[in-house]
Amino acid sequence: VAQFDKEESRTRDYRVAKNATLRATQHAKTGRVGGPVARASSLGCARDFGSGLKRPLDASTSRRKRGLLGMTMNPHGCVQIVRETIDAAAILANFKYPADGAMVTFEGVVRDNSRGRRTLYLDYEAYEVMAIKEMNRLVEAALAQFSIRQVMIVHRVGRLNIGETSVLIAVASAHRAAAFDACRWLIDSLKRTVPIWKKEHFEDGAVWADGQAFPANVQESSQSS
Amino acid sequence: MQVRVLFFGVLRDMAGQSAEVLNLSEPATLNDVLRHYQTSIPAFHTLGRSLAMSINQEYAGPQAKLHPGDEVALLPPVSGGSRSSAFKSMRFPGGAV
Repeated sequence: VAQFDKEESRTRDYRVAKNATLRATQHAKTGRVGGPVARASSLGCARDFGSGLKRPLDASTSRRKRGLLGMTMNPHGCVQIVRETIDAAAILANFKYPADGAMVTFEGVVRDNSRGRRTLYLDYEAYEVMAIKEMNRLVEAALAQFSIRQVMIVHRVGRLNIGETSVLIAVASAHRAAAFDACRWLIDSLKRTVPIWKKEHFEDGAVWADGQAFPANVQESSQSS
Repeated sequence: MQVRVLFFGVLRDMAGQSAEVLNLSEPATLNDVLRHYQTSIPAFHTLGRSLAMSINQEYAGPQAKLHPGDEVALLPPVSGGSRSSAFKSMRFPGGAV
């Protein structure tokens, strides 16, 4: 029995085979292979923000780590939408693992101008349930595409002032190239597919920022008629 | 049947509300929802073909069938994060969208 999952304030027991991994426990939890991607990401991060899905589990490790679970009780694991200040240093304090040789972080920051106009502040709005789903998909896709160990995405919504961080992405890996590539892919993909919008407030008015076109597979499916 | 329609970003401003319940005759598709609002809210045409739609928080095309109680969202192009990119390897494996 590996007791490792504390979600929504509940601790649950799962019976898994010897040498099981987090991915195996995902199957135990969802009852089928290839369960919801969101669950995989959640489990991958829920222990301590540091455990990839392929990391071996054992009961003693789980017990030893249990104390860490309290700080990551968010059911969405390493994908979060927050309303308060993003404190990158605090969030990333326990992100690195001994096997990591690189950690790349990206912070999107509120700039004081846009297309020649002076910006006062931004209002970010999200379709939160869908945004969490889409961000979890990006995490899972990045873990599958790049040789990286773990990913974290935190996006802030609400009113943000100049200089504040709107989004934090962190990628940890054994080697730097994969971490750089994955981080760049994640931010570029996020701003095309994750349903979050920003309204720019200027001295002389406000406007919703022009988004980029949706990727072709969204666009075709949505506008083919 | 009834579906719940959500508006975000510039579409919410145009619609003057963030959500409403829409009555549709069955069978209905997302395209029926789109046409309804393109007719009732002429400003929607200014977005042209750039908006996307979702059913129950999943991107879906205009031919997607609707069921009673579905949550439909009209989504303008997203703008989270930073602007502009030329990164080529934009792929969405595993049915990401």
